[in-house]
Amino acid sequence: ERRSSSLQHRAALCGAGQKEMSSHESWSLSPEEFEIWDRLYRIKESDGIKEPVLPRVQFETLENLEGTPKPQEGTRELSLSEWSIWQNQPLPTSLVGHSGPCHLFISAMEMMELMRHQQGDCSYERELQPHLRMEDVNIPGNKRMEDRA
Amino acid sequence: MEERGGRAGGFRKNTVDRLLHLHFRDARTRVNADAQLLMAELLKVFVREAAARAARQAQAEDLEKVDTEQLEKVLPQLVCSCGPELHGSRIWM
Repeated sequence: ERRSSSLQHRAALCGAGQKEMSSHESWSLSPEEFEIWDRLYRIKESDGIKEPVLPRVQFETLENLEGTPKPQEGTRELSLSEWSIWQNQPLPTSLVGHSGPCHLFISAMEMMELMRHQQGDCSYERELQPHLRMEDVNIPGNKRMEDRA
Repeated sequence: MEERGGRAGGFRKNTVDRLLHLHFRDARTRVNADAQLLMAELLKVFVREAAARAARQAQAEDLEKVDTEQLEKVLPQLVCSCGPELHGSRIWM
């Protein structure tokens, strides 16, 4: 039912006549478009699905500019962490490839997956420890090399 | 990029301009027509990418229908993939 009307809607938009075009000058939906949106895509209470909302940015250690957002009644906040187990490999892409930061995110998830099962010593620490130079780090109360020189 | 009545086959320029202006801090900020068209194209690519990745996820799970769950699975990599690396359609099997 939805498919056929969406085809009609596409035909209506593609075979746009003068009248159709004039209403397209505006930034908002034309009455015809509004009708299509209302009928096919708008989430209504009778649909029994919650309106998806994105999580808001919040800094734990800074004062947040906007007050703490309250979860709204009847909405479902999309989760960025619920499927973390799927994130340790690059997922397929279509036109937009994965960015550098995205690859970093994927390798971090991969690393966490490996470390999840570790017991006792941390392999990452073992790997890095030999490369530690005390003069590179700032430890309060620790005499720096140049101070001693 | 075809311009028909200010539409780049997706978002209308006026709509894009309006959306951007909703979020500008300085009311004097302006967007020129080329940037509006480019932004309309960018938004279209973003929407199509989200839809394609979610559809691919549904396919991988042998589902006929894309649901919020499939979108949620592709969301983390989608939102941090908004980098400049465009490449041709690659089919992953």
